Parts: sequence; structure tokens; C-alpha cells
Amino acid sequence: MSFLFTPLRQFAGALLGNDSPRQLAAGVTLGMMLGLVPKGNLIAVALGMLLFGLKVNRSAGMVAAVLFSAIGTFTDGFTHRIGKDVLETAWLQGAFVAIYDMPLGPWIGFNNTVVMGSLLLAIYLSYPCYWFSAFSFEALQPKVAAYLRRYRVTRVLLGLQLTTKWQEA
Amino acid sequence: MRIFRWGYLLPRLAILCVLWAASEHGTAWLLKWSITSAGPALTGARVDVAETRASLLHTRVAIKGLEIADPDQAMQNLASVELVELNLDTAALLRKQAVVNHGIIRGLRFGTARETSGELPPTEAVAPRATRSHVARDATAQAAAYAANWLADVEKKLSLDARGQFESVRLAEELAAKWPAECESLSAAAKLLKSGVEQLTVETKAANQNPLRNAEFLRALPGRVKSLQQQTQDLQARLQELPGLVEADRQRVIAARERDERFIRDQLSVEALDASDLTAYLLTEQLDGPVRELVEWLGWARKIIPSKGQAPKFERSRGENILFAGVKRYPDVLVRTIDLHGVAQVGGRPLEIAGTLTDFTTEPQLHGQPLRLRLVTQGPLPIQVQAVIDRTRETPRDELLAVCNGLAIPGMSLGKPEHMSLAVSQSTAALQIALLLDDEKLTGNIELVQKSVDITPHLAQRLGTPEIQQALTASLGRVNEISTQVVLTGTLAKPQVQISSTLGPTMQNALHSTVVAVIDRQRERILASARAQTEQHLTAMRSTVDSLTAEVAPLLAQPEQMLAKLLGPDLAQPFSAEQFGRLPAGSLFK
Repeated sequence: MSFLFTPLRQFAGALLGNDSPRQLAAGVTLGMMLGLVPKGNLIAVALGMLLFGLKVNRSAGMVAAVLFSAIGTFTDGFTHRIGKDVLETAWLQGAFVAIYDMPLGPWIGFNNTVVMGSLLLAIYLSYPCYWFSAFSFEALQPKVAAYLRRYRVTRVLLGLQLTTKWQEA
Repeated sequence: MRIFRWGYLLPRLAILCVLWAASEHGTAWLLKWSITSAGPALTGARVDVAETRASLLHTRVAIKGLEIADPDQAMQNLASVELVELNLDTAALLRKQAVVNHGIIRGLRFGTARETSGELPPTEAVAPRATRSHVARDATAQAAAYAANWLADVEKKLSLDARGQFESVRLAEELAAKWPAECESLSAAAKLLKSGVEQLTVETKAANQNPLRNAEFLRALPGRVKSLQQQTQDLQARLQELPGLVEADRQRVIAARERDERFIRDQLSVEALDASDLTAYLLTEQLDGPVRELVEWLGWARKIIPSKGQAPKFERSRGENILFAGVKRYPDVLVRTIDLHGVAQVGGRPLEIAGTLTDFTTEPQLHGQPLRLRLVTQGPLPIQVQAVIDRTRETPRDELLAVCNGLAIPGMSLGKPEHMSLAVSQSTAALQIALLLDDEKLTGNIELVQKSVDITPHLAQRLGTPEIQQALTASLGRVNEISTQVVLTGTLAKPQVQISSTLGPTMQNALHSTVVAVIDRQRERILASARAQTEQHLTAMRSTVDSLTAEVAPLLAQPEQMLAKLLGPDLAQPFSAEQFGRLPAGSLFK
């Protein structure tokens, strides 16, 4: 039961100040990247592993991933053009061929125009996203925390967190 | 600062290991699901798998109890396999390719019985193995039908009795009935005339006794005599005309007889029977099934391994996969070699087969090598089969070669029992099959040489005259070997078949000349019978007329003389002075 509520609990904890705004911003940024990139390739797997492996707020990242997955489908036309331009760049062909010919090369999925385009778009947006998220969380976290503490649901979720910590102890 | 949260990572690594272990089974399940769901789309019937095992770690796949149902027979398998073992190339898997360097198929069987129906639900049903070819409806079938009609026609001619239809016989019968009545009438008229003349003579004599009293009679006598003379002359004229009339009737009968002869010659003429027609008649039904089966297998192979552009592609739905210049493309699925071991039923007996299947791929144009199948039987019946399915070019090309020596052919009946059939004994045969399907163009040659055969002809009752039976038996008794060749042309959808065999010319030589001779004799017999009938009637007619002439001529001659006497000097001066009571000149007494 506790396992099922963990993402919500962590997100509530993040908003209440358990994680720093930088961790939240990094989670959102990685989630944004994961959401934008089509799944079913090693790039998406690597982004997922980074999200779950690095010391970032994965709840914020997952929320961002879901949100940007929905947005990502509308940007396919744009990302396809970006990816096609990059993948057809003559001076990069040697590098692409070398990567593609490596073991697991075709599984990376970088030769797909939308994957490449969305990855580049995600990288391009990563710093603004991080900066904006960090700024927002720094500004909004105290107010949101005060607001959320008034609700019983938040207290229940925090209680679950405390219980979990007590069990771990 | 610690970047990695080991307390967080380690449990997830453990979960990953569990997932890895599950994937071993998951891959097997996925493989089974792929085979059973994609198989029916290719074969047109159910594809069942008993068990699958797949190991990503060892890159090995095993499929147990694979059964491919026959789309034409729901309770029978097209092929079944006990075990398929495939060793996948690990390096190729890392490059997103399924390459089997070596595989083994064990327990391959064809036409085994199924426990459950292999029929697909109506919504999933796809076209059967191949559309039924029209092998039996082409020129060969027409030739067979022609030969069957020829035999039926011969039967009809042999049993034909056209005497009732002869005009000459009918006319001769009519005339034979007419002339006796005519003669009777003439004879009666002659007799009546004679009696009339005799009566007149008597009456004249009586009248001459007393001329005065019979003056009226004597005055009318010359007229009556002349009338009787006229009647006599008429009868004589009719009698004289009789030979001419008889001759005219005879000529009519002869003319009718000539027409009858022409009619019967037309009716009993035998058209030439071509040896190829007879071959088609004897062998089309026997060969139609196997030839159609072969063509259907080719069609099935064409459907299973489609040509360029028809192979199913599972494209990524988002974006486009760029093929970089300089990247060598390999097919996604490639089976380099598979050893085959199994059992096949040939000529009703099971034979162990072994062979290899090489270069099977979903993208043959990338691979550049055609699929090759080599099968060899082991045991007393050596059969070699080689198939090349080439999809490397723009147009697909399928080739099949099969050689079999010592094939046991069971006894069989050729032809149709209602006309003529041949009972061919059990024999051994050498079979060679060479088929080529280049795009849609079909060419093929099938040769079958049967040795040590005994052939017994069976003829329908009407056709089975001792003479024909004897001629066929003698001719076929000399045949010890039958060589049959089937040439296939046309297209896969509309194959054309030409059948030639040594059996046809042998039969044609024996049958045609004998039948022609028998029918010639039949014709001559019918004509002779008709001639005899007409001659009999004509002779009877002639004799009737002759006897009438012999009978009537004297009857007419006598009255003529009598009438001449009546018209003698007495009638010249019917009423002399003496007759009226005056004495003749110089008479002393009155």
C-alpha cells in the first residue's frame, strides 16, 4: 500500500520542502526530456535510468514526463524536421555510421528523426526548464507548503512517510 | 556529496534481475504468441505451438510441438514439427537483427491428423492455400472429352440399325404391295372383257337365227363390238405399258437405294482419333490431382514468401528511420542453415527425410541469396528434392526439382468404365519433376516412366466386340513400359497442361484401325441387308407382272379374234334382201 502511494507522498514531500528546489528542478528537467523523447529505444531507457538513478525528485520528474509525453505528440512534425536536418548533415554521417555500427547501435534509436529531433529539443530546453523550475520552486515552495498543510490528505501522506521512515529505522 | 543513492539503486537492481529472469519466460511467451497470431495470416489456417523456450542470455530459441493446420482439411496438419532449435547470433541481436547461424528441425511430418480443428474463425479466415487451378478445364480436358465422345459415337454406330430408316426398303415394300393389286385389277378387267365378248358372241349367234326379230340388236352390234374392241385395245395397251412402269419403279428404288447408301456411309463414318486425345482421355483424371497439387504448392510458397514490397513491415509510427550512407544493411531476420529431419509419406509408405534449408530471410534483396531447400529420403526409395525460392530480384522466381527412382505406383484404372478403361497393374516408376515459376509465368516438365506394367483393357458392352477387345488386348499385351510426360505452361492462376504418353499412340493404333474395320463391316452388312430386301421386293414385283402378262395376254387375244369374227362379212351387210324375205336373184322359190 505504501509502495503505491510513494510517488504522491514524495511529490507532496517535495512541495513541502523535503527536497531542495534544485532537486525538484532537475527532476522536472529529466522528466521533461523523458516525456518529449519517444519510448522504445535506449535513449528513453537511459533517460529513465537517470531519472530513477540520480538524486533528483523522481515524482516531479514523472509528473513532468507524463505532461511532456502529451505535449510531445503535438511536436512530432517540428521535431521530425529538426531530426531529419541533423541526421542528414553530411559532416556528421561518419559519426552516425560509427555509432550505428556499434553493438546496440540500432537499439539506440537515434536514427529516427523524431527521436533525434525531440532529444535535441529536450536538450535545448533543459537549461531554461531547469532554471525556470528552480526559480519557481524557490518562490512557490513555502506558499504551497503552507497551503497544503491545511489539508488532511497531505497530513495523511506525510504520516505515511513518517511511518515508512519509522519502519526503515 | 554522494551522487548515487545506493540504498535506492540496489533494490532496483534486484528488481531488474527479477525482470531479467522474467524476460526469459516473457520472451518465450512473446515468441509463442507471435507464431500463433502471425502464422494464420500466412498459412490460412491455425498454427499451434505446444511449448516455447527462449533465452536472451544464451540467445537460443526452442519451439516444441509446432503444428501448421491444412487450410483445405481442418482435421489435418499441413506440416508438424516436434522440435525447432535455433541458435541466434548474439552480435546480430545487439544490432537488432535475428540471425540464426544454425538450427535444427526434428520430427518434421506432413499430413498428420489433428486433435482439434485447424479451421480459422470466419473473421480470421484467409484465402486457402491456392485458388483451385483450372487444370482440368483446358485443352487437355477438351481433348479427353473429345476422345470420350468419339468412343460413345463408336458405340452408337456399332449398335446402329438403320434399316428401318432406309427409303429404298420402304419404297420397295410399297411397290411390292401395289403391283399385285394392279395386276389383279388388270386380270379382272381382262376376264370381264372376255366374258363380255363371249356373251356377245352367243347373243349374236342367236340373233342371226332370226335377224328380223333381232334387227335392233344386230344394228347395235357393230357399235358394241367396236366398244369391246376398244376395251381390248386399252387393256392390251396397259399390258404393254407394264414393263415400262415396272422398270420406272425399279429405277426409283435404285435411286432411293443410292441415297440410302450415301446416308449410311455418312452415319457410319469414323472420324480420325488423335493419339493425344486418347492420352488425355486416359490420363487427365489421374494426373489432374497431383499436377494441381504441385501448382498449389507453388502458389502456397509464393504466398508464404511474397515478392518484393509485399513482405509485412512493422514500421515505427513516429518519424522516419534514416539509413546512413555507408551503413551496410542486413535483413532483420535471417536463417543461414537449418537441418531438417522428419518423415514423409511417399506412395503410401513412410520415408525418413533429411535435408537443409538455407538462407531464409524476410528481406532477401538485402541478403542477396535465394532460399534453398534440399531434401533427401533415406531408405529403399531414394528421392531428391531441391527447391529454390528466389526473391532477390525484381521478379520472384521459384524453382522445384525432384528426382525419384523406384517409386511404387499402385494399380489403377485409367479412362472411364462406361466407355473404355485400362486396368494398369502395380508398377515401379522413375519420376522427374522440374517446375519453374518466373514471376507469373509457369513452365514445367514432369516425366514418369512406369516399368513392368500389365495393362488389361475393359470395354463397354456395346463397344466390346470380340474383334476390338482382341485387337486391344494383343496390342497392349506387348506394352511393358509406359512413359508419360506432362508439360506445364501458362500462369499460376491459369496453368495449361499438355499430356503425352506412349499409351495414347499404342491405343490409337490398335483401336482406330480395328474400329474402322468393324464399322466398315457393319456398314456393308446393313447395306447388303437393305439391298437384299429391295431386290427381293423388286423380283417379286417383276414376277407378279410377268405372271400377269402371261395370264392376261391370252385372255385378251381370244376376245380379239372373237370380235374380229363378229365383225366379219355378216356385219358388213347386216340386213340383206334375203334376210328380209326376198328371194335371191335367180331363185325359183320364194
